[in-house]
Amino acid sequence: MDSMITEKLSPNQLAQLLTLDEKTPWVESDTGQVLRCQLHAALLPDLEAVSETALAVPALRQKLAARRIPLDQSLFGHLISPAPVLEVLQLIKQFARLVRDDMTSPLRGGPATVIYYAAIAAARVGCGCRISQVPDDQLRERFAWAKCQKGAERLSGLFAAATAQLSTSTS
Amino acid sequence: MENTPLFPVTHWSLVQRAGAADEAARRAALQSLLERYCRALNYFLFVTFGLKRDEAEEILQSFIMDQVLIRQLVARADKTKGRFRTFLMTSLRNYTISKFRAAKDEPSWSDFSSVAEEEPNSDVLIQASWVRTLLNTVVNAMKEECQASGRDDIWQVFEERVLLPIFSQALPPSYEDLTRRLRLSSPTQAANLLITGKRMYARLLRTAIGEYELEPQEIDSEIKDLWKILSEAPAFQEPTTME
Repeated sequence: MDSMITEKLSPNQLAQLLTLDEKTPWVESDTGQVLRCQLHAALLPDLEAVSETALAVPALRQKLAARRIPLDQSLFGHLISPAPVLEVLQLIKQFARLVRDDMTSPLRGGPATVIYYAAIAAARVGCGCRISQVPDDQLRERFAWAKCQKGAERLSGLFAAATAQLSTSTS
Repeated sequence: MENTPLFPVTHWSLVQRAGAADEAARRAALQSLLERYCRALNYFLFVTFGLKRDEAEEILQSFIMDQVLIRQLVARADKTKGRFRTFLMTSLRNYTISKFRAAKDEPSWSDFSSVAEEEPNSDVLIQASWVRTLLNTVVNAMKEECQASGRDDIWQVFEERVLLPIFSQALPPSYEDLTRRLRLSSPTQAANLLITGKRMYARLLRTAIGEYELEPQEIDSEIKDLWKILSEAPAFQEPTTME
């Protein structure tokens, strides 16, 4: 008889293989590296990889091309750009909200939440626009939380600038 | 469509044909059934009785000749009394025990007879033996499909994140570890590969079950039934190597 790769599995292990229902979270200590990696990955392929945001990507390509923004620009590059595209930031926010609760995504939880608030911050700083209904005092707290997260080090300037604008607008 | 059969060829229709009077149809259906079940039956003998490879093959061939061909065992299978594989494996188990009893003076088999007669988890053993063979087929089919379609990346992420943690009961690799070794471009890519791999596996599992046993609408209940039996099974000792 040929050897079987399932030969030594217990009934319980076989049961796990039958359903694959057991969600395996990504290791918690990874979050900083996960966030850093996502920030430096090309923006559009990953927005296209999520079905809910994929449909909007072709139109964004045209907008980016019209603004002479490289199509392989990273997520981080767009967030800190002095002239980001508002529609791109809105899609980044939507993308982050979707993956924040996705058990299969390494971005689930903290890393996605940082990206979510970074998009809101970038809209404030780069476009002078609000893309969130969250009141400024709460945004201030959340920006402060986000910039302290592992992997968000290079976003601290963005969050600081956005916080300064909140202070200006509420004073 | 004109050439599409009204009902797909199911396990029980195959069983019925294997038990039919028409000699040609019976032989063809029997051959098809035996091809589907032989490996599982062989492995069942190994797991249940601890037989060596040549012993398992010998007794299986003997079972096929005596019970399946001469006594037309398959014609006695009754859909209302449970799953065909349980019927087949129980018959094989009983046949093997009777062989042990008849050959008690032969030292190579007498050692195993007490194991067989005292086994308290025979139904679990039957189902586990079946699922083991089934899942082995599915995992290999997935690996082959990934390789054939040039999607080794899907296979690798699936193997690292899903299979190995189940096989070794260890923590899955971290994202950092995985992305370094597999050269993934982003966490989103890793997640997408994982989702694609799980969907492919689920499709192949359903295809495999649909091929040998049931109507499409019954596949889910088959998976649930097998899962329930196996997940509630007490731990039992199985032989770990097959000589």
